[in-house]
Amino acid sequence: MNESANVLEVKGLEVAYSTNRGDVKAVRGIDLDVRRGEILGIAGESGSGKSTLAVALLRLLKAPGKVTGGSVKFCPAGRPPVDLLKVNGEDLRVLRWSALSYLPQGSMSSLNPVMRVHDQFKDVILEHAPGRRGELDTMIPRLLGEVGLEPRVARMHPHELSGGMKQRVLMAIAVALEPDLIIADEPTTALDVTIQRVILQSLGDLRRDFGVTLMVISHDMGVHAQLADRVAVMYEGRLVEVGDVRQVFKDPRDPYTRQLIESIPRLGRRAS
Amino acid sequence: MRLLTAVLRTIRNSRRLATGLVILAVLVLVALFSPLIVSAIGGGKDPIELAAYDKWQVPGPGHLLGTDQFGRDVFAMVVKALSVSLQIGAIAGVISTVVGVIVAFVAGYKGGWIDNVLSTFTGILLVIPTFPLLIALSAYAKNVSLFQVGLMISIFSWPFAAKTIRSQVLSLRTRPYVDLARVTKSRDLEIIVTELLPNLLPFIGVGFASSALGAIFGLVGLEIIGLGPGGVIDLGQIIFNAIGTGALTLGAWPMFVVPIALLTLLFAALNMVNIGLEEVYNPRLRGVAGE
Amino acid sequence: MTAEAPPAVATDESQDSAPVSGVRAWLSRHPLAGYAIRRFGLYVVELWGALTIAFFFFRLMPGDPIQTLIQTLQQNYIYNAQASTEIITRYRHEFGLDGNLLTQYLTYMQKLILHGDLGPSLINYPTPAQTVILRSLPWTIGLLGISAVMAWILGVVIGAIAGWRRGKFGSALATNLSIALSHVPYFFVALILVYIFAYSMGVLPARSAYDSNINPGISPDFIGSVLKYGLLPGLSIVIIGTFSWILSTRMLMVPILGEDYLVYAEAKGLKGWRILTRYALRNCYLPQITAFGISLGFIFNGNVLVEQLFNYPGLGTTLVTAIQQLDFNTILGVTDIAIFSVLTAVLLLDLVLPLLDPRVKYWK
Repeated sequence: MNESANVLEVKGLEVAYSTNRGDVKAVRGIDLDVRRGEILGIAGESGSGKSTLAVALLRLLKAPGKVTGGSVKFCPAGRPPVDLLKVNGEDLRVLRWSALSYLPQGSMSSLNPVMRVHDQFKDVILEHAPGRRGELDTMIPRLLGEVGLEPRVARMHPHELSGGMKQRVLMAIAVALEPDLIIADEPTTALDVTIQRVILQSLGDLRRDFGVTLMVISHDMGVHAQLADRVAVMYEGRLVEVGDVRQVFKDPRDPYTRQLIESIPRLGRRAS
Repeated sequence: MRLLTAVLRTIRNSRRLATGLVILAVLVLVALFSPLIVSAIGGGKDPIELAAYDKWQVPGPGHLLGTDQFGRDVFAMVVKALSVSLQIGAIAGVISTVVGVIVAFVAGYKGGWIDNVLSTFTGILLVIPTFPLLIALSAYAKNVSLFQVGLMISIFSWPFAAKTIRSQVLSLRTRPYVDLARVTKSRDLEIIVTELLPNLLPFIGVGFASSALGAIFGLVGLEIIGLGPGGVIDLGQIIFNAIGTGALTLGAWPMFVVPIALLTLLFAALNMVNIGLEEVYNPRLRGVAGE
Repeated sequence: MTAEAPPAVATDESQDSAPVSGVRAWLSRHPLAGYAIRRFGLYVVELWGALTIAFFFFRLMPGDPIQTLIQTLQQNYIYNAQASTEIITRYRHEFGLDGNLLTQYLTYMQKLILHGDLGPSLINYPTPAQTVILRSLPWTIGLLGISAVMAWILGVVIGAIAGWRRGKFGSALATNLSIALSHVPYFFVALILVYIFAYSMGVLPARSAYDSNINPGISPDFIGSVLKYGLLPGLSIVIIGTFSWILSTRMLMVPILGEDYLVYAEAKGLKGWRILTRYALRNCYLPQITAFGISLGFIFNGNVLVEQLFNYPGLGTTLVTAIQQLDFNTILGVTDIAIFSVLTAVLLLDLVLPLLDPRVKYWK
């Protein structure tokens, strides 16, 4: 089967939040394509709508948020394309993780506090790939090793792990089923600078080794500079610039993009 | 004045709280007006006097709920009994709440070993089955006034109030505005009254509702085995009489059903007030816009 | 990329001031044991406190039990109306009523703790109270125990679902019903059940624990009879208890509905019921374990009246009979047994708790 060049095609996506005084628009009509095998960065400040975009694409948006318009064509390998916004129930659930996975911020409490790391892998693997039950004992240590964690981490509970370790566990779980697309939301935020480096390196390695497509949301332009192939800049719910990352950095067309780039701290430069 | 508007706004926000309070208000009104209602039913004579009417009449136009074995009008009895039950509940509730607040404040505010001793003591009273102890007290209750009954029962309901209030005092003790008040050299008592108390009023409300509920519960329990205070008729007594004389088999079902229904309504209302207050002060329990 | 060693699991071993020898060192290396010992110590204090309170409550009741006994005996065996002082003294001694209050207390506690002797009962004089009580104990444990556990299980499951599917009609219905009915006395429900099933429809019995025509023993007939006779009393407790647990479980479930790990579980594409049980419920059910133990005292209170209504031969009926006869030893004895059972249950649950919860640091 011919795989389309784009794994995701977003057209006219609109997301709003209901309040007692009417709707607040968070995402205003975004058109965006995600090419298969690329690392696409979504940049922007807090409140630009980038996190809302990610959550909406993952169909994890909860009241008072709601999608008010648009379509998202998702083309997982070996499966017919679907509109992510329209698919529901069992069809959506089956797509999850095996085709589309989520890498949340490690500093959040995304890991179930009462389950060991081993079981957090096990339940999702067995849910979507029950035939691989026999491989679990080899798979899990291998996945942990790929993000630089010792096998004995599997026996631990989340509260015993540091922020960086949790982030890496989440990364390992995200690739466990080799999905077509991983959406990563602020993967380096709230981590030490040294650990950030390690995470970014791991993410790049993931693309190299597994061929996954990554959408990385981050307010930190430095992350996009180091990791992304293309970058899309959001401001107040709109896409203001999209392009090859080196191009955008060298010659930003939008004044806001320019501001973002210039706000990256540089050695030798003083604040004012 | 501000306190009043704040209270009214709170009530309007929570449907549960409002419903519970409305039901309570209705019951209280009936109780307050009971003398009027009773004499209206009697139309001249006292419908609760023994042999005021014929015995064991079934519900009918003359007597909405029939009469009992002594010829007393059941409707009038129930109304009067409701008033008595509410009074006892209120007395016990107030005493329990006052004691509970004092204990909770002392324990929560002072901390240390005082807290340990007091909370262990409160804990014991909450966990052990207290009904037998209540029975022991009821031996004193043969010929006492309403107030004294309330007083005795409150011995068992105060730990409920204390427990709820204490946990709130603990959480509030470390809030910044308390530190601020401390820094301005207010005395401990002043801090308690001006800073902590207003924020604790809803919890004191919950404490009152819980202990009133527990008090009436305990009282009804006692009366059902015949140990209640003599000389006063309250709802539990009516039920006891009904069971004792096999009223159901004689067709006098209101004597049975009406007190039970009223008590259930009362308990439900108190519970609604409790839950409603809890929802108001724990916003996570409330609904979300757009849901 | 270097493999990272996980940080040390939190223990009390701080490098600067580690105790090196003695009990403290051992305790800091075995934090769970320290917790167990401290909790047990608290248990002993609570038990002693409760038994003492109970003792003084009953001893301070008005009424002289010996005079009552004499009167009872006079009615049963034609006695000389003026019982001589020797006999009174002897009875006083037997019932532990000689000496001042403090002496009585010490004697009582000594007999209780060292010999498990609760003194002679009045209702079956001279049978000791503990014999009378132990005869009725299994019935109460059966009725109360099974009902309480069933109510807990039903209530927690329904409450979890009610909290999970918040906003749906079924959940709102369950919640409102629970608010209205969770504080109805078991006794009222028992009355209604008896009226409907025993009196009107005549399908279930309203008295006793089993059919008196059947011999007690491990036989299907007997067990069937026990179950049949226990159905109505048990239902009275289970119905109301369930409502109460529904309410409290829902209150625990609702605040965690927005937690990150639930969003993540949904992102993983796990099945709904799996998320409900292994992610949501497992993170909020623990307080209900403690709450179960604490509820036992309250359930016992209600159980007394239920047993009384059904003439069920358990502790409750024994208690009421003893009260009517002013049999102080039995009254106090039942109270003591109830106190002991409840406190022990709470202790056992508290000791089991650390095994169930990997997070909480109990040894702090």
